[in-house]
Amino acid sequence: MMFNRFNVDERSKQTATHTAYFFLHITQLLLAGVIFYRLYILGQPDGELRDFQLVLGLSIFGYMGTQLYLGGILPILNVKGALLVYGILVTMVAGGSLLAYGVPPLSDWSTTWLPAFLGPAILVGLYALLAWLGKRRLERQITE
Amino acid sequence: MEDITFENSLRLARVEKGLTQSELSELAGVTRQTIGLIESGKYNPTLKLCLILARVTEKSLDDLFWIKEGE
Repeated sequence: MMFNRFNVDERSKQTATHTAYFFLHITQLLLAGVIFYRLYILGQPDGELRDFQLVLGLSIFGYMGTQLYLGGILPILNVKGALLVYGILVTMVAGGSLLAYGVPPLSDWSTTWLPAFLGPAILVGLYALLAWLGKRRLERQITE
Repeated sequence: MEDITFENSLRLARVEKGLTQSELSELAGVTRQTIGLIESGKYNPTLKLCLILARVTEKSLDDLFWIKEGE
């Protein structure tokens, strides 16, 4: 067997994986720190940090979603379970916001009520989709 | 899980075959450092590499790698 020219073997791949894993999380933490610092220390408006938030969100949810999908061992939610999780999430998001900011005017529904109800629905929906697709992928691999 | 350690006789098998670490690493398609770390018990190779090493050294997998039960 020829020795490969770049000295890449399973151990160096494993080291590269561990290093990437470590620095991915460091980068995510630092990015969250930058957002926090700019928002709450420097007092910059939320709209100026959309790019940072988008990159951080994509990184966190992309990482988690891919891992959950490739793992293929997530419990698949039935309708009752999905509704229960959705209800808990809405209660947490809406309840927390109501306690912190009070009842928002109905005219601001698109930035207050809508995200509180739509956000958890998207999260639960994405979870259910990833769990189903991941399990299906794994079952197919097993039966091939 | 009970306390177990992974042991191997790769160094002995390599010397029996008259190979240096560098030669064995070329035959197995890994780096010399990886062979050194396996021999010193500081790296646990994948099953794939274990099988390759067993084939190169003409040993069975059981002869080359085994589990030592905890005291």
